[in-house]
Amino acid sequence: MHELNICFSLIRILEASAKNALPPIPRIKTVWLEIGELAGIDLEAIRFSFPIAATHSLAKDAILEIKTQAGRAHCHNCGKDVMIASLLVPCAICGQYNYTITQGKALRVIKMETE
Amino acid sequence: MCGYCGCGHDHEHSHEHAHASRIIQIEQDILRENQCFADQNRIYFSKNHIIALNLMSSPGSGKTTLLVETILALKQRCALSVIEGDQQTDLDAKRIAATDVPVLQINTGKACHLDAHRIGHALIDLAPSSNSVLFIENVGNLVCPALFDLGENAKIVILSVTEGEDKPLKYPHMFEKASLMIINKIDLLPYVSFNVKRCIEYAKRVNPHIEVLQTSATTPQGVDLWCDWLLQTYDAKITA
Repeated sequence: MHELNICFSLIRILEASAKNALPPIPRIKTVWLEIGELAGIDLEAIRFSFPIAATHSLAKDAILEIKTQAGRAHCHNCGKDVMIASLLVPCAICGQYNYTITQGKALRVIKMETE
Repeated sequence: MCGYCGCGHDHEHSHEHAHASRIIQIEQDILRENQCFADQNRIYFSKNHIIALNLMSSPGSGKTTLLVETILALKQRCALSVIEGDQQTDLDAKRIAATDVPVLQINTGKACHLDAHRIGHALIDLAPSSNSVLFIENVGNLVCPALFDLGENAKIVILSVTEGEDKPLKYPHMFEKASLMIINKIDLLPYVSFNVKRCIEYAKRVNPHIEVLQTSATTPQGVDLWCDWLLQTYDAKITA
């Protein structure tokens, strides 16, 4: 359940970003994340963990908006760039598994809306 | 507050906007904090000529037994030390300590993986010698440790034949990150339905570059090949 640890890291980032703002931030209302399909992160576990990690923070009761980033790979067999929905699927063009992931591992906080 | 990092997590910069919208752009990798500590560890390893290997597996794959055999085979040839990660107990550290190499036990408590920050503190306490190999035995778990860079030179995944050949497909992130897969307990192959060829095929499916070794820590078949791999890695890095 690394998602809970990740949510605690997220809260530290949010609070650090809010710390020096003027006028002071009383509450974080919404948080936008970008998470890749290939990042090894379970979105439901993030949604479950976030309120727990946020309990004693400025982000208590904040809404979490998650944008998913599609997986992409460069296939070394056929030379094409293809969509990859998981680490287990072959290249959609040639059916081989010899590819390098080029996108889909994002685990980023984009922005937050505060009061 | 600790001397190593302050533990205050004051590294992020705020980007406040004085506009009415009160949207604050952050644009930051959530694992950046771990990444920063991992980078510090990597510099430490490089400066001190230490090869750090992150050993990961399910609980009960034989990591500690393999490690004990490895230490006994190699300790006359190069300096070794060990960081043991478990949720609770110092049982593994005691087994390593019996081989007379420096060992430090980290108890993660509720956490399911080691992170770079804990390793940074452990390096201060353990003070591994220069020109040495440091084994980091991660918490037994094929999921969470895959995501946390410790600053190591290589991630090694150990899979025992009693666990089933399909583990690389069930836990692809771990096998994708590893440079070496060790199939352990091969002395039990006659008693279990584990298809070695298929297991390797599955691992190569998620990671075409993964190297594979087969060992039995108890017999100790294949441990010599694993020691050769270690010495080659050591020579390549230390004498480079």
